[in-house]
Amino acid sequence: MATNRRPSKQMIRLLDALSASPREWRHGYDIMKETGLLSGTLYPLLMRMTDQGLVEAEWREPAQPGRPPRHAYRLTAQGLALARETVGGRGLSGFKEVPV
Amino acid sequence: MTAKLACAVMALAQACLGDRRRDWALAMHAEFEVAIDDGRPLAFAFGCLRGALHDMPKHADGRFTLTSHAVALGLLPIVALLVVGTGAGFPFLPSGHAGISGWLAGSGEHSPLLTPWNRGFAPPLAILIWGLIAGHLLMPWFILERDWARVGTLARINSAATVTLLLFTTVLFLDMAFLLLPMAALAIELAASWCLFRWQADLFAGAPPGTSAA
Repeated sequence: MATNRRPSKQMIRLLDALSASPREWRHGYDIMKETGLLSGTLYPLLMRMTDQGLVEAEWREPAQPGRPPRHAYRLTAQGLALARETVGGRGLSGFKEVPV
Repeated sequence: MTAKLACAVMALAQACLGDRRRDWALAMHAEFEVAIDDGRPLAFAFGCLRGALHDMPKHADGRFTLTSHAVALGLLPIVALLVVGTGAGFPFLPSGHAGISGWLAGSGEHSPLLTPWNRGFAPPLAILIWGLIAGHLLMPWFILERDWARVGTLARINSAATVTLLLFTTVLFLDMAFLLLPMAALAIELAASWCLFRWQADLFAGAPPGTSAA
């Protein structure tokens, strides 16, 4: 269920980061570094967006042995549509059509 | 030191997320390992804790956890009042200015509450009051552990101790006003623990076995 409220600045930054390469799965810490969002902002946002069906999460095997599996995230079709809408509302056009 | 503190904060954040957000707790923990490698574990852990606390009031189980912590913290001042009252000789401790040791040694001033003929009751009554205080002190701990069997047992023990105090006070013709505080403490404790027990029963009625909520 998507929200009808206008996305916050932090959500727009997250949408921008995830929509840059929509098919790619991204780890939380990498997203933090890219967007500049702190963990206290990013995780509640990811939880909410996942609850709303805007982001999907998946467990990925760790790159290094002995490490726990990591959660990876990417936008759903609904999330990508919202990202396009948001960017459209800001008068930008940087999206490629990518099937998800 | 920083790493240990960060681990403790991270564990607290994971606990705050509870069963409902277990996946997210594990996800945060996995990223915490990366944050350690990156040299920023504390900032990451505090951020996760902030995020977890922010998420808690949005869900019924989170609200329950926050309320039970508030109740547990709210019960502590009542215990503190009883301790302060006991330190001041309340209600059957005839320590006077000589203190407990003076009273045990048979010297010192005596409380006007106890007359020479009923002063022999003082030691068992004092032990009963200290036991009651210990019982009130344990109650918040059991409530936070959601150990309702122990909460029930302790509630019965505290009730029995308070009723015993009431009976002794009546039999010894002492001032009943001194029992207002222990009785109020017991009433508040029983009401709060019963409400939390019922709330949890309603909240986790359909929880699968093996979860901490069940």
